[in-house]
Amino acid sequence: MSLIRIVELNKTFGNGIKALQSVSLEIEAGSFVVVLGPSGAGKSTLLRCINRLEIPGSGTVSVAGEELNAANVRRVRSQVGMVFQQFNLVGRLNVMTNVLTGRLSHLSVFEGIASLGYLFGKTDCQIAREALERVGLAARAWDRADRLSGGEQQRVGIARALAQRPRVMLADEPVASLDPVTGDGIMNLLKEICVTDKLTVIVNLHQVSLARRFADRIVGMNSGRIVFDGSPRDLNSDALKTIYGEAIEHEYGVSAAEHSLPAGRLMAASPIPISLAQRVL
Amino acid sequence: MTSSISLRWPTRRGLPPLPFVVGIAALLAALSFSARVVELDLGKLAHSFVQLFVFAGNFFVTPDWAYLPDLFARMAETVGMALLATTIALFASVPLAVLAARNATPNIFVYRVARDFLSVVRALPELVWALVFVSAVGLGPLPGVMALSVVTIGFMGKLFAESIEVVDRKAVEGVKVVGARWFQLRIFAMLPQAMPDLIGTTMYIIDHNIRAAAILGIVGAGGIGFDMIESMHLFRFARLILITASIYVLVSLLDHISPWLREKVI
Amino acid sequence: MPPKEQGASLIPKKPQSRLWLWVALYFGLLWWIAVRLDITFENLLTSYPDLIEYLSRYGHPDFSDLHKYLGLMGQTIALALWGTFLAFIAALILAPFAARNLSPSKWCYRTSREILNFMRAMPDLVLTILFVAALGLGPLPGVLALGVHTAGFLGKFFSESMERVEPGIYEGLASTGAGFMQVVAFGGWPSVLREVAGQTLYIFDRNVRMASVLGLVGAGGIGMALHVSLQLFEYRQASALILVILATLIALDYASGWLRRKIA
Repeated sequence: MSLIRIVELNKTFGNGIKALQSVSLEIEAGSFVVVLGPSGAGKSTLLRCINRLEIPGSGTVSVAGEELNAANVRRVRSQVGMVFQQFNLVGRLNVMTNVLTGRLSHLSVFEGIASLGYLFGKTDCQIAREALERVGLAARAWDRADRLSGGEQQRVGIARALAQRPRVMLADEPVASLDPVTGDGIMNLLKEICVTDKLTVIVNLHQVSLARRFADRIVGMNSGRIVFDGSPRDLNSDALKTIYGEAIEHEYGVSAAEHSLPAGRLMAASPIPISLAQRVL
Repeated sequence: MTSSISLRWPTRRGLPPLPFVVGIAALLAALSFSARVVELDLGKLAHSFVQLFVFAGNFFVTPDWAYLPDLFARMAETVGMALLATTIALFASVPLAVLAARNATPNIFVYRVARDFLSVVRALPELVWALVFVSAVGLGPLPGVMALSVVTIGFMGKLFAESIEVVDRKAVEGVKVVGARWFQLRIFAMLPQAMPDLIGTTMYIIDHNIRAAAILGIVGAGGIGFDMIESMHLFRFARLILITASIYVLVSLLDHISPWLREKVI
Repeated sequence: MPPKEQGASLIPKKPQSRLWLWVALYFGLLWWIAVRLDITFENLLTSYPDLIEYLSRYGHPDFSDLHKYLGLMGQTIALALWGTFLAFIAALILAPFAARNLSPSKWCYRTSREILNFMRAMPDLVLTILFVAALGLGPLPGVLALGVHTAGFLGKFFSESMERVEPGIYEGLASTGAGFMQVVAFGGWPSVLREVAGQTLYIFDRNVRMASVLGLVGAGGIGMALHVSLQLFEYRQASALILVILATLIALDYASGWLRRKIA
């Protein structure tokens, strides 16, 4: 059974924009999925529906067999860590406290009350420290979060998510605010976490090259629909055009000759049912 | 059982940061010391809630509807006092503000004197001024208007002066270069630029003064506060409930109308 | 120079401004008010010489009871401290519910907003009169009145500060599964600490000013002494009291300015 099941998700915003249109997707445990697409394609909305930061108009999202609704939000979120483009750390607090907030949903009632006074137990402190060491920032544990560089802040964000001991890691444009070298480092870290900790990682990106290098599976979106679903090898110029439109060829200079596969043939990385309308060519 | 219950703070040593601890300690010390000075203790505090509850029961009487016309007259008097005082203050504070603005004042000595004068006049609460004026000229709205004007001059003068200080230098230079004299420079270059600020400030002050005028009556300086004290001393709860309600309505109206009006004018 | 056309002008006509009408109406209203209230220029002008004479009576302040006055001023400050403290606690509890982007439900938001507005509505002097009638003379009714009234202000300030925090900070915390209280504790208060400190200091300043007059209606402090001395025509005492109040308020102004700069 797949870890995440998304069935017929629809979301329309107040100003009439259809962010998601009949999106269905299944994600296996342990995979590294990249959601690719231009701005406004619905990538963010899709990701945020998985931890209910956005509430879909219709359709269901299930994580580990449990269907998400208003009642189990906190419980599901404790299993789903998220990393943001703007890092979303609490700047005034130190790095360690930021990572500790990842433990907040795992506390007992007594510990929960203590946390309101900024008190944490030994085990939670231990877990937070391990997460910080994992991302290589143990030395900065007591610095204020807003004193760190962009790349370091993102690592803290990842540490916070890791402290949750989650089963799923969501990353919404994690490297869009970072320079290419730092961004590479973050992507490497995410990939390593996926492989070593056997986490399911779903990343939103708009950089095609990163998607190619790191993804096990690429889901292409455009205008609220999934228009591509396959391995990086299948991402040829025609596929890119479907996702991004005509301009992409000029941007990335992709030609069919780069790939040994005949243009347009879809090879799914795993047996995922895709409706006829969504199959590329 | 292991010490899984050992809690610590997320700092290097596991203790809360020093300035924080010192601050809290100082605060607690100040509070406990003040509590004695103010004759405060928890028992009294708790008991007071009961007493308040009992007192509130007095208000459940039929309001004295016959009093309504007088009430409206008093409310009008209150608003009228505020408007008068603000206008008087307006005329006095504009020249004072020019003197108290660093870029418009004739010399630094005048500037210092003007600023200090405005500070002192502003420092005393309106009610204290009202007390003084009542003692001087007797009861009625006159001392109220005088007290309000004086304090308003202090506020307006300071705020206007600050508005004048931030006008665009280049625009002023432009007028100066054409040969404007001292007065012309201020009237035609500085004040017009500060005008939007002045209007906003004035509206804020009118709002504030209406609220203040409602209270000045407590010391006899006219307005609805006067009626309130009177009714209180005579235990006329039938009127008191109307007076209290009208004050509440006045303040709520101001809360809603002021921001709306400000947007319309600015 | 091109000849000017007969009757035509190169500059369009200035639009008719109705401002003058409004100004005229306003002054008409003022005139009517002044007449009704028996406040004419005559009154004002003739009062002023009397006033000057009257004010001269304050010329020689009598500081013989200074230690008593200072004690009263201390009581006034203590009153303000406790009033501000009570207001702070109440605002601490209510403010997160009154922040639109934090409040657990629309109902919570509306209700807490209304409660704060209600607390703010009655002027504290009016509240003091009522409380004195209920609880008797003394500083306690003053403390409660200040607490209730300024709780409304602080609550509004705090909640507005929390609404201005970047929404991403709250989202980041919510995404870990943190509950409402935890988001407030870790994302809300730390982010607005500086503003909160400034606002509380401002209210404390204001409360000291108010506390010095609350005595007029029986709530203890220096206001009571001032009222009594004026009623007994003891102008030299009164002026001493006024000077003590003045000096304290100005000193306090400087002190909180310093404190605010230290925090910033």
